[in-house]
Amino acid sequence: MKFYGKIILLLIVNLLAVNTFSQPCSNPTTSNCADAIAGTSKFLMSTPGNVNFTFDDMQKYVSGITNSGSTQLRLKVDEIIAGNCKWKLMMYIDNNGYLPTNEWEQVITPYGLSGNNPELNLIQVKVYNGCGTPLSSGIFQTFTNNVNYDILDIIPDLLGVRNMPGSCDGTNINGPGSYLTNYNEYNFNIDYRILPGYALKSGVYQIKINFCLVEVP
Amino acid sequence: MKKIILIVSFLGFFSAFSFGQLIDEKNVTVTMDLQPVLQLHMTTSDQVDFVFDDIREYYGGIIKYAATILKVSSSVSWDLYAVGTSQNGTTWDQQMSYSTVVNPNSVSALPLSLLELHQYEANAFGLAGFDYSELFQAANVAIPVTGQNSIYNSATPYTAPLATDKYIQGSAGTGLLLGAPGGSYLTAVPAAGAFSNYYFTIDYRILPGLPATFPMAGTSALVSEALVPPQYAEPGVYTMNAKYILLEDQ
Repeated sequence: MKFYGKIILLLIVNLLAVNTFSQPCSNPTTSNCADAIAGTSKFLMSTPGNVNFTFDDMQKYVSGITNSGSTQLRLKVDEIIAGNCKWKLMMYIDNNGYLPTNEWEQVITPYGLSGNNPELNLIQVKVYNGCGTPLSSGIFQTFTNNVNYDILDIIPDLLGVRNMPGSCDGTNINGPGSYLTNYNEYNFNIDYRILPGYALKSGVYQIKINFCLVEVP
Repeated sequence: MKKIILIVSFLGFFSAFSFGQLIDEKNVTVTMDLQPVLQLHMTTSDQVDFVFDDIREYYGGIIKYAATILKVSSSVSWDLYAVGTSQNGTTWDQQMSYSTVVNPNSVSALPLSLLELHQYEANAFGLAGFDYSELFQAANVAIPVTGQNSIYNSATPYTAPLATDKYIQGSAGTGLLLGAPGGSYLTAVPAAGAFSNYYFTIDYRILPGLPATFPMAGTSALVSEALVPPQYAEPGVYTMNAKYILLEDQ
């Protein structure tokens, strides 16, 4: 009886350990691709990790601000088990635990009194590359569910389908390959745009956008 | 058997921490600095002159139609008010007197409220009746509503008026319909035949009357500030300052 108690305890700890990664970027269940941290695969972000929008002029409020190509992601995915390496790439929004969960984090006390707090579906993102491999390539999208950890797929889980590079026809490429040899399929540019309108409360706000590369079965 | 089960359980535990798999994450922090922007464009002259050199102008007054055009752009909710001010905040500054005789009925302290304003469009986000949207009253009206169009005046022009004072747009307080929403004359679409809520034309009138007592002058509470005959306005050159203040709704 004591023995089975230990087993149950181990299983609970195991469950908790798995749930620690319950954010959208969770551990894969297979190991068909090389590791991107200690292995030969690479997930590179060649641009700064900060994107700033400063609305200090009426013209910027009227027309919005677009930061083009502010993030550039480059992938090199090597396979370990031939024919089985597949991956997905996604982004998800994070308001750093701010409440309510559908609003941007307020960094300082707002400048003014009037207006509403900005919500997570305010930021627009556009992902594209030379071959148009991302889902909704070249189109500004929003996190329409307007909740923390809302996900936008860049290369979705194709549920067993593996697309190899080289066609450059807009197919979602998810097999092994490299930005060094197939730049237009393993490089991703991201534009950001904010159209604040006139109903938001003046202040400084922050969110985080996470890009997650993970192997899929 | 028990040992095998225990080993399998341990393996399962460590598998949760395995790093030999393709998973990696990059992060971008997005910072948005929304600074309050309030812009008031006045495209018309900043000088409005009234020269009374004909008797008809005394009894009929002088009106300057659309002498001031105001265009508003604001990223926050806003109020707009006009305030007349001078050295003492209550009467016009006399720059020169044409009178050479000392007559106790010749008054040089002319109330700021003798300047009348008329705005297009009416205040859409304030309390009814506390703006300048009423038409100028006829010069020969038997019993004028004194102060109906008189400019709000104050010695502290940057202190926002009370809710019982006139606003061009908005009012004191932040309640519903006490301030106009953010927007711009550049993008606001007006109703047919009207201006938008971000575009105003201002007419000015001075009606001295005969004798020159300024019968329309009065406070926001419609209390007359007209001179009382046999008093009359001392001939001379007078100036005052009309300020248009755009501020966040408060």
